[in-house]
Order: sequence, then structure tokens, then C-alpha cells
Amino acid sequence: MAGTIALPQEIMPALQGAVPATIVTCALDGEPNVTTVSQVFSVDQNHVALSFQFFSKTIRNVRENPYVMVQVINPMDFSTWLLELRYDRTETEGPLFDDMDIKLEAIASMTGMSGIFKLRGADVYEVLSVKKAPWRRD
Amino acid sequence: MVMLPSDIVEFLHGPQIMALGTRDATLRPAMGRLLGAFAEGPTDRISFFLPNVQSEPHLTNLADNGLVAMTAGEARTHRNYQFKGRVVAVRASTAADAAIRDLYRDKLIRYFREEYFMPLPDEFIGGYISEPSTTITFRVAKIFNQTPGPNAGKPIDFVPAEG
Repeated sequence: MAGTIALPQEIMPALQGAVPATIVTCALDGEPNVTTVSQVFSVDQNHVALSFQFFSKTIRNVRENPYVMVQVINPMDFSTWLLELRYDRTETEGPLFDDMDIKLEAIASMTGMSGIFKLRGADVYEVLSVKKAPWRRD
Repeated sequence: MVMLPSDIVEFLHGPQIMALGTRDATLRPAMGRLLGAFAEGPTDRISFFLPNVQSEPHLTNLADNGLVAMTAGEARTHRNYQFKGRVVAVRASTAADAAIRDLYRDKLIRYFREEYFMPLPDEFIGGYISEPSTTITFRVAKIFNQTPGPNAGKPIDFVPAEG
């Protein structure tokens, strides 16, 4: 298993929510699930947070099986990053939750989803691996 | 004959953003960016194009368990569906496949150019390495509405084929 690693500075523009992220989870019965998330937030060098809103299958899967893969895109150069994460905890109050709530509402307003996005919790994940996907022409 | 809902097939053939989810033998998930998909004729099967530069770990995962999760979503409206099922065929993309794949890319570039006040550069879509690709066909067992809102996560009325 990969150990906790630090997020490179190069990935930070991809964690600003300009382009929606994609998350893949897996239930304990083995069924994969893929969906979109509004933003992946940088918490510290080794952790990111995902907004817990209404994608309940993703939440159920993560509570059963903590391993997920997330794709984020840098809006400056369109580079694609893949993060292998492990669910750690959910925060339902405090500075991280409040910061995510404000940013989520901003994203909702910009995308015509105001009043639909509702933050229930900030799911914090440990970063197990991070790589730039070799999917694009340089 | 089991058929996918016609409105969803029509949607699938549009300029949607598409993603693939698979998992390995230890239940670790993997993610891929798909470059188009199609449902051919009255059928319960969807085929999609996975660039070979992304093919691992997905081909290994599909050989292990065959389980596919795929989403298709429209950027502006957020209309989004997830399809789940089991793989039935894997082949190197043919010239006909490549024509569909390239048509999808051109539609998506045109969509972003026309739908957004400040369109993303064509490079955003066109920059993905598409050639060569693998065409993967799966039999759909479940369809879910994933459009944000009160119906998010609800299954679409669809009776899958037996077996």
C-alpha cells in the first residue's frame, strides 16, 4: 500500500473548483460507482476534503470501503491529476466546514445550482498517491 | 428485446463528458476519461472508447471481475446518468469506431465553443490522446439519474436482460 505523500504545488490550481472533479468508489459487494463532485479542497500537505452533499451511494461506499480515486483538472493547462485517497473522517462544523460551505455556495451560484448544493459534511481523506495522468499531449 | 430508454440513448450520443469506473481484486477503484460511447440498435448494450494510454489498470480490472460503472453528463445543464453493468466484449477500435470517436470529440469541442460565453480552448477536449483506443462493450444492468437535485441517485425505470 502506498504511504501518505505530500501534494505537489503544481496540483493546487486543480483544487480550486474551476472544473468539476470525478470520484470512483467501490462498495463492499464489489460494485464500482463513479460520479462528479463540485470541488476537492486542499486541507494540508497530506489531506484533501470532499464535500458531502447528496451523492449518497458514494458516501455509503466510502463508509464501507475507504479507498477512492479522484480526478481533478488544472484549468490553467488542462493537466489531469489522479489522486488515490483513503477516507479518514467527516467534519460537520468548524473552520474547514465553514470554508467549504462558503466555496460550495460560490460554485453553486456560478453554475446555476444555488439552493441545490447543500453541504452536510466535509469528508477528509488521506492522500496515498498523486500523479499527473499521461492522458494528454504536452 | 430489452432496450435502453430512447431519450437516454439520444443523450448518450450527444456531447457529454464521460467517465469510467472499475475496480481491482482488492476493491481499489480506478478512474478513466472516455472519449465517446454509443448504443447500437435496439439493445441493452453500450460501447465506449477507452484510449490505450488509459487502458491500464482498467483492462486488468475488467478481466478480473468485468464490472463497469460509466457516467455521461452535460456540462451546462448538469444532466447526468450513471450506467452499471458487466463487460461482454473488448476489441481494438476499428476504423468505424474511430470515426464515431472523432465525431464525438468534434461535437464536444463545438459544444464548449457555443455554450460558454468564454469558451474553453479547443485544446481542453482535443488535447486528450485518443489514438489508439479500445472499444469496450457492456450489458447495462442498472441506470441511475445523477442530475443534481431531489432525484439524484434514483434508478431509471429499466428492465435489464436476464443473465
